[in-house]
Amino acid sequence: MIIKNKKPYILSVLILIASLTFKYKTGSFFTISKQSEIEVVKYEMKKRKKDITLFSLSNSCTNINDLGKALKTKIISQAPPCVNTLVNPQTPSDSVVYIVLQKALEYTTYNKSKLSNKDERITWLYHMNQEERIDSFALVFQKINEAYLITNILYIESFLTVHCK
Amino acid sequence: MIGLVSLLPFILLSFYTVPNLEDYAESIIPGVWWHVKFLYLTYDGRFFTSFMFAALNPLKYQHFTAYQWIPLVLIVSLFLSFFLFIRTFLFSNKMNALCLSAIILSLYFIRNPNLAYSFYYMISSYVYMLPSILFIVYLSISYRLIESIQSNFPLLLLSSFLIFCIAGGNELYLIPLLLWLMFLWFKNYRQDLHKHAELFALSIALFCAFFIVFTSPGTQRFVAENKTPITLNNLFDAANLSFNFTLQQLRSWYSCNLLLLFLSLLIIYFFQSIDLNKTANWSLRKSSFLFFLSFVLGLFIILPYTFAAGGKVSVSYTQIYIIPYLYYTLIGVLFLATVSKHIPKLPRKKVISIGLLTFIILSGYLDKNNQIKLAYQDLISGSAKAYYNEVNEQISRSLKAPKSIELCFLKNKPRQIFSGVYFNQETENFHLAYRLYYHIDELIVKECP
Repeated sequence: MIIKNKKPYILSVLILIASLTFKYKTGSFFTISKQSEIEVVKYEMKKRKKDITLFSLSNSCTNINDLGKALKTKIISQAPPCVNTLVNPQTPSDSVVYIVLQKALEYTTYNKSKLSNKDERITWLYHMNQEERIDSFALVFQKINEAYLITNILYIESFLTVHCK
Repeated sequence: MIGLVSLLPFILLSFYTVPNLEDYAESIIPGVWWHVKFLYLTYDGRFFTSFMFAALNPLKYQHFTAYQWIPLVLIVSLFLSFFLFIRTFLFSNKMNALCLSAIILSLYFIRNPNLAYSFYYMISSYVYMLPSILFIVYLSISYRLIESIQSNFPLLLLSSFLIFCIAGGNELYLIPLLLWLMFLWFKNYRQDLHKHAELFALSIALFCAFFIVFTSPGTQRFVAENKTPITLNNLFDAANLSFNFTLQQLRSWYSCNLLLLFLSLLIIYFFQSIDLNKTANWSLRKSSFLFFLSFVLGLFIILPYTFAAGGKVSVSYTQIYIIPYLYYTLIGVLFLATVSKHIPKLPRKKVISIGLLTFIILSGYLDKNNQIKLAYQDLISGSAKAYYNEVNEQISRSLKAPKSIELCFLKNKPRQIFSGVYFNQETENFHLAYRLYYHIDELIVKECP
């Protein structure tokens, strides 16, 4: 059989190649590649490290890394099943610290007025990505307000309890 | 005249457009390729929309004036896409096509389910309006491709490209794109047009585009987390939701709507006074069946959304109806074109034109849901200008990069251009993006007296 109009078929092949190239280049050919996953985590860390609030926090702490380790230990020691993804050994530990600190601080900043209640506590329902995630869990900072959190940042883990959603 | 009066407030409102919080979140991701890749891996499969966020985003260069041009460009593009649509399917006279495009645009504006999300909110307009405009262009271009006597490779190339842009723009176009391709195959078969090769290429493009969209790790994660398995039962529930929600929205469009009735009469009057091409001259029975079929199938446009939402979909998400409304506007205009040939001719008298215009203006004025009237209200009451000044004042304070900043919740919220995605209890997750964008250490947002 002689194909009179070859161009559409050539275009079809090119479209197929371009689509597969896109999948390959994004590192998501069959499943997301390890390389791409690392790139995403690195970017998230970089973004959070650029967050000046965290810089100011780290300046107020003598050793942010020790604080991070303490936080992570606290979470692991309580180890509710829902936080497995967060304390996954594949995830760089400082990204965990940055996420927790940033979320805690954002919450305290935003809900300042609410903290005047007698039963003061900060609850941050942590979501891995967006809302409605089933592996959400609550980070509860007991009897603490924003000013107290910042001045006592080194002892943040002692106010923290972790609950599954 | 109707077109001009209707479009004027929307053009003026463009100059009061300001960025929303989600716009900032999309403006702190560096580069173009990384932006597309990052969103594809972590968020969703809308690769074309991600490309637009990355490449055509004035906020990335802190160009706030260029941001205001986005709604204007979109309105003009929608107008031109209607113009192309009319010249392809109805008639070729340019002046008449321009007039009718303006009327259809007014028709689309009158009951648009969410104007802010359609035009005045960059992220959303790239997700909903841009693919819609490209879809209308695709309908016209692909139809011309199939109708052309000779093989036309540039048109084929453009059609394939448009498929990628639309599918990679919004997955809600899955059903309309599939329906249209089926129609083209049917037309090719019935009229023996010998366009198998072109249709094969378009089918491959459609398959590849949706393959990329639905195999995105971000989309897959979303589907997995929603825990909505693809079962007949779930599909039926989603179809049922889609059907009911669309009907609910359509009721407000069709029920006792005098404005729509008079505008339809005007369009019929318009069609009767000009020569329609053969496409619009289908028999009433045949076209009624086709329109009914496309209408019923169109009730399921939001099916991918209702399915993914797993029964948690809310009618208040009015932005998802932007796409079905465009689809119904086009079906409605084609139907009026067919009907106009089969009802008695209205006499071509000045008094009829003036009467119709008077009724349209009166019913438009009395219609409390008329978006054009509400747009004028935003302008005349000064709410749009006050909103613009309020946000601009916040932007200029934020740009000074202070260590700490206190902002107030907005007082002015013009209905047509305020999307709601600004500082409030639900947008807390965008605070970090705002701080990173303006290099702010601490951000406090509070109610101000």
